[in-house]
Order: sequence, then structure tokens, then C-alpha cells
Amino acid sequence: MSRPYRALLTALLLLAAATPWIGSRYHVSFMFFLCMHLALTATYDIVGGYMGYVNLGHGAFFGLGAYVYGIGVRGGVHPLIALGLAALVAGLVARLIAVPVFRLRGVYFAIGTFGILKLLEVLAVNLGDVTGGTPGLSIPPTPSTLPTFYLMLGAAVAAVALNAGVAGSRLGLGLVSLREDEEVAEASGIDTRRLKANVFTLSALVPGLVGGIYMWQLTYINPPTAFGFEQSFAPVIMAMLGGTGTLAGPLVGTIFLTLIEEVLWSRLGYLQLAMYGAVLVFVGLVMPGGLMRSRFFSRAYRALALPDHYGYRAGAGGAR
Amino acid sequence: MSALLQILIGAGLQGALYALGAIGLSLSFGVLRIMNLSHGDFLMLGGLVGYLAFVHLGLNPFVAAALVGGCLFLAGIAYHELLLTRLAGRSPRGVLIASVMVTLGSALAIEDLTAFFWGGSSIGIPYRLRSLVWGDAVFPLLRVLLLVATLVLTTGLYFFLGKSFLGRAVVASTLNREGALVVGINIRRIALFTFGFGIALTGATGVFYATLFSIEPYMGLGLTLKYLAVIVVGGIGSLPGALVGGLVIATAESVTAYYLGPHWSPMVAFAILVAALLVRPQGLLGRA
Amino acid sequence: MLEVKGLEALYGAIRVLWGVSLRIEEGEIIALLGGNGAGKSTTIKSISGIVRPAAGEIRFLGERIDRLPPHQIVEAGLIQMPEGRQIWGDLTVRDNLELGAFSARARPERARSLAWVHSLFPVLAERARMRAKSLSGGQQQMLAIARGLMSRPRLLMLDEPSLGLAPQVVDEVFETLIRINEEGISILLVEQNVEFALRIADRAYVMENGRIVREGASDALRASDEIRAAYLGL
Repeated sequence: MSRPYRALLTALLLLAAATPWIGSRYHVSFMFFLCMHLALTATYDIVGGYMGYVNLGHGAFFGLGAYVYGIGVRGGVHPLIALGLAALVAGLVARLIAVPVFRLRGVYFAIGTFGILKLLEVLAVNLGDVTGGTPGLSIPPTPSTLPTFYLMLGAAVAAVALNAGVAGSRLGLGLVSLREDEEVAEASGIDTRRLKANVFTLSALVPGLVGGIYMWQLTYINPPTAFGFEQSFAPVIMAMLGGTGTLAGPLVGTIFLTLIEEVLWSRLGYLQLAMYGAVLVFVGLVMPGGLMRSRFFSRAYRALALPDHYGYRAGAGGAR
Repeated sequence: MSALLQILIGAGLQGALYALGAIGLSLSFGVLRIMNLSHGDFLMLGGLVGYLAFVHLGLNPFVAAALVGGCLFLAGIAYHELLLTRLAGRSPRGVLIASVMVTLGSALAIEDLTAFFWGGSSIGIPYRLRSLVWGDAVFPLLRVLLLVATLVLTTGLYFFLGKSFLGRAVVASTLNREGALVVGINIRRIALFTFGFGIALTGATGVFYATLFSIEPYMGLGLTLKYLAVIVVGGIGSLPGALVGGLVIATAESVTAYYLGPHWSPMVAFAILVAALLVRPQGLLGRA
Repeated sequence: MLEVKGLEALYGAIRVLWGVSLRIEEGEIIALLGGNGAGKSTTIKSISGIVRPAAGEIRFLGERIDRLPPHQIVEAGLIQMPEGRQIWGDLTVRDNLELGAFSARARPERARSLAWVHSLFPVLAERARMRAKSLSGGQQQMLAIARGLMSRPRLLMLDEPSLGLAPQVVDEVFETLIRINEEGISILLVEQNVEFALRIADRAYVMENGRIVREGASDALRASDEIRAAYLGL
């Protein structure tokens, strides 16, 4: 990545880190959720964008993490350890379901993962003794928001770094070749089963962590929030808007949509879901490759010498 | 014994309702290769229009269902023309991803907009008929009539697809697209017609849904998932498969509700869907 | 009758046809030869409308057809028997044939076409009520050709009719093609089986890498040492 952009990103990062001192509570809260979305979107895109498997159940890892953290803290576990457990359990569950779930391809994979998400939601409702059922789970509040803010910022940075790291590595090359033609990838000697399982597990760790951080800060979780739209579909839509399988795509999509959602929320109070829906329809019809690949903006990108996305120059990577 | 019988019969009625709603989804994926995730939302809309017809025009649910069917047929064709026809030129994977995006986005938009304009509460059509009593078992007449209507519709559809020229063209398009093209079948028109018909059927089911249970704006996606379970179990593209799938899911739900409690039954459809996808994706009666 | 000028086609971003031109006069049997991947199938599919040509002009009976959807091309009487037959295995033989007469032009003649097709291929009459997939390979080929005939073709394009068939059956197929031609139907035959194709064709075009590299009367081509050397090993 070229020098001016590295400098720009560092500056933005420092600015974000300074929010608790230079901004209001509102700004801090906004940045908190922005980082949360970013973490979820960037990790979603590893499986959904580079590998081409649309994981509609990505939010499940978040929900699992939130519940594990909550249950852990209620059980007397130290918050930091509970966070670690949250990430670990998410990763474990991912590893367990990876083998059966990757027997599905294409749209069936999307439906299957969506089904698993809904399944977990119903389980959360019904296993009330452990999860608190429909009323949800509460934990005692924390005095300061600072640690969770920085934890969430850290998680976002980690997610983006993970995404970038995968993109530039041989692992990423394997993923893209898998996405383009799985049979050919297999024939070329790539152990697709192991690759899929490992990457899936990898993509689950940060969401689990993020779920724990969320629970730490907001001290309350219930089934629709844990396994709901915000955590499962929103990252997918953000990634698709920005451009799946690109470095900047998740970033752009997340910032764009989080801002719009915030405006809608503060002005109208309704219709965020409709907004997301409209964005998704628009992207599907007009720009399946996302903003980063749109021909409309490509001249602007070239003028700005924006870093090349990982994938093709010739066209779309995630959706063709 | 009679409790079990009651459960099974109830499951039969419920299964028929599921099948009716699911047929459209099966046809649209079979003929168009489009996974319409907004399918359940058209059921909700149908129920809404049916409710309005009942309240403002005094139409009973059966008549309203016919009216809704007509309206939603046109709506389905418009929806396809506006949103889905543009996808036809893309690669098979592109079509799939794009259709998921477009239909999912539509689902979210429809649900939220409906809630915005209508209010988030659930509504039902307060239309009641008496019950038939036979020995120990009680059959609500309304449900029985619905079962009859469902069977009539399904049989009619089955014969249409099997005997009429147009029907056989639809089936042929599902079985082998290239074959259909070389004999001069206008696949685009068939696709449009099939899609519109599927939406119409779902909308009509929505009216029945509103009468038997209730409808609320955000029910669509979960319902679509349940219908997916129905057609995956029964076999995508198979009409008798939809009936079988509906029966299986409804029976499983009833049995679960009876033995484990009603709060477990929402999970049944999802669990069966995931299991079916993993074990036998082509379903009991379908082709791969 | 059929005139193709400068046909170009793409699969995604890859160009597969580079300016293909050919013509067929009424009553002829024309062979389109070439190895695997030469572009023969793509040419046929571009003519029948299943593949959209990127450039070029196709005229059938004087009218331009290159931008028309497949069903309209079928209506005009240009029928394709696709590679791999693409029959409906789960439907009965009778259903397959009846669907062949789907187009508006062919439908009123359905009964007459059926009788004709049964006289050409008696086995299809015998097995009318059986599922198409229960037929042998050769019989399925007959079915595919018969289905094409049900569409009342003026020009029938066949994509590799001899594929996977025993030599004896191939003989029968080609004899039938000659009979069909005698009834006034022009034929465009895509074949890898050069021997047989040249035996029944009047003229032939040879394709390689998406281009026409040779054309001429079939006698001349058969005698040519070049062709013999190139394709004997096929």
C-alpha cells in the first residue's frame, strides 16, 4: 500500500483512538458501533468475499460470544477471561459445524447458514435456564466505557488486519482460486476441505470476541439482538455494498451504511431495515461488484491511485 | 388415541396450508432458478389485502383469496419484470447471488415499509364458522373447507401441469431448459407466468393464514425459511413433493408441540431444513 | 436459404468465433467439420439463438435472425437438434414428440407430423408410452431427431448426431437424414465423424480455432490428402 494512504489510515486510526477525549459520549458510542460493524463485516468478507461462500449465519458467532461472555461473568469469571472464552467458543462451534455445513454449496450454503442462525435463536429462547430465554440475560454494569471502547477499536483493527493479511497471503490466493472454480482448485492440489474449515474457524474468532465486548458494554443481550439482523445481515450488506473480496470494500461499505443508518435513526427513527433492503436491491441490480468495482467510480479510483483491490482488474470478484 | 388422531388430522390440515404456500417457491426455483427470499412477504401482503377486503368490502376469505390471487398475479409479474428480468443475462452464479441480494433486499424493504405504514401489530380476519364434531374429534369447519380448497387447487394444478400443453411446457422448461428452447418454447414468457402464478398462490394462502392465525409485518423471512424446508424435504420442483413436505413439517411440528411444548415447534422447521440440506438435498420426491 | 456473415461469439470474455461465414442453399446437406473445441457447436447455437452473437449477420430465408430469441427462430422453421440430444428423460416418448410441435406453426400439423415421424422411426411408435430415458442410445438419438422433425423444419441443424452410437446405428441415422432431405428439408450437420458426414453431405466447411479454414464439395474434400491426414487420427 502506498505511503500517502498508509499515513492517511494511521491518522484516521489515531483520530478514532482519541475520540473519548475529543468527542462527546455520542461520538464515542457511534465509534463503538462503527468498529463493531467493521469487525463483523471485515471478518464476514474473508469467507463471503474471498472464498465466495455467502455465510448468512455470520452473526451466530457474535451471538454465541455475547451469551458466553454473559454466562461466564455471571458465573464469576473475570471479564478478560470471559472475552477469551467468547472468542474460543465461537471458534470451536465454527470448527464443529464446518464439516457438515461445507457440504453445501452456493445458495444452499446461504440458506443452510441462515437456518442455523435461526435455529440458534430458537435455542436461545428455549434454553431459558442457561440463556435467560426471551427476557434475555443481564450482567452488572461497568463503571467506565473506556476499556470496552478500546477493545472494540482493537477488534476492528484486528479484523481489518486479518482481512488484509489473508488477502495478501498464499491463503488468500487459495481462497480466491477456490471461489472461482472449486474443482479446479482441488485438482491443483489445494486441500479444500481443510482450507474451508480453517478459514471458517478463523473468521469466527473476532465476531465471538466482539459479541463479548458488546455484552461487556451494554450488559444485556436477548435472542433477537444476539442473532438478529444487525449482526447477521447488516455486515453482509455492508460488504456487498462496498465490494466483497476487496480490501477497501468492507471499510467503505461499513462507514457508508453506518452513517446513513445513524442519520435515519436520529431523524426518522424508522425504516433502517427498509434502507438496508433498498441498498441490497440496488447493489444486486446495478452494482453486484460493489462500490469499489463500479465502473462509475473507476476513473475516480485511478485518478486517486487507490490501492488495487485483491481480485481482478477485469471485473467482479465476489459476484459475477 | 383420539388426541393423537386429532394431532395428525390437525397436522394434515396445516400441512396442506404449508404446501399451498410453498408451491410457488418450488416452481419459481425450478423454472427460473431464482431463489425468491421475499416469497413469505407476499403471503403477508396477501393476508393484508385480504384483511382490507374483509373489513372494507365485506368479502369472505374465500372470495377475498380469489381477488388477492388475481392482484398478486399481476404484482408478481410486475416484480419479476422490474427486478428480476435484468438478471437473466448473467452467469449462473451471478444470477444466483444477485437474485439472493435482490429478493432478500426486497423482503427487508417490504417488511419494514409495511410496518411503517401499517403499524407493527399483528392482525387477523375475524371470520369464524362452526365446528363439526365426530365422536371425540372436533373439526373446525373453516379448516376443513380450507383443506378441501387446497386439495382442489393442488389437484387442478397437477392436472394442468400434466395434461395441458402450456402446463407441460412449464414442466419441460424445468426439466431441460435447452430442450425447451429448441422446440420453440418462449421460456421468458413461461417464466413470467409461472412466477406470477406462484406469487398469486402464496397471496391467496396469506388470506387463509390471516383467517386461521394472524399476520404481522416481519413474519416474511422466517416463513420463507419454513417453506424452503417444505420444498427441500419434498423435492424442489415437485408438486406432490410440496404436499409431502408440508405434511412432514406440519406433523413434526405438531408432535414436537405435543411432547415437548409449543415453544419448541418453531425450531422444528429450521432443524429439518438444515438436516435435509445435509442429508438429501434433492428431497424425497425430487430430482437432483 | 441460410446466410451467415462474419459471425462472432463470446463465452464470457473469451472470443470463440472469429468471423465465421457460411451459406446453405435450399435442399442441400451441408457438413460442418472440425475437431473438439473448433467452435462448431457455438456456431450452431449462435444461429439458433441459444447463444447471442457478439457480431455478424445471419439471414434465414431473407430475414435477419441474429438478434431474435430462440423461440422466434423456431417459428421461422430453423430447428436445432442440440448436442447431447437434450430430450426429457422423465417424460414419455409421446410427450417428447408432442412437445416438439410446440411452435404455433407446427402445432396444427401435429397429428400429421406424428404419423410421418412414426413411419420414419417405427420404434418410437412402439415405445410411445415408455419413459424416454429407458430407450437405448440410438433410439434416443432417433427421438431427438424426430422431435426436431415435429417442429416442421425447413432447415434442420444437427449437432453431433452420431456421438456415442455404434457404427451400425450411425448408418441408420444417416440413411434417415438422406430420406428427410429428399422430403425437402435442408440439413446442416455438425460432425466429428468425418467419414460419414462427407458421405452424405453435398458441401462441407472445416473449422479450426473458431474460424473456417476450408470449404468445398465433399467429394473434393474426401479426396484431399490434407484432410485425410489431419482427421484420420481423430
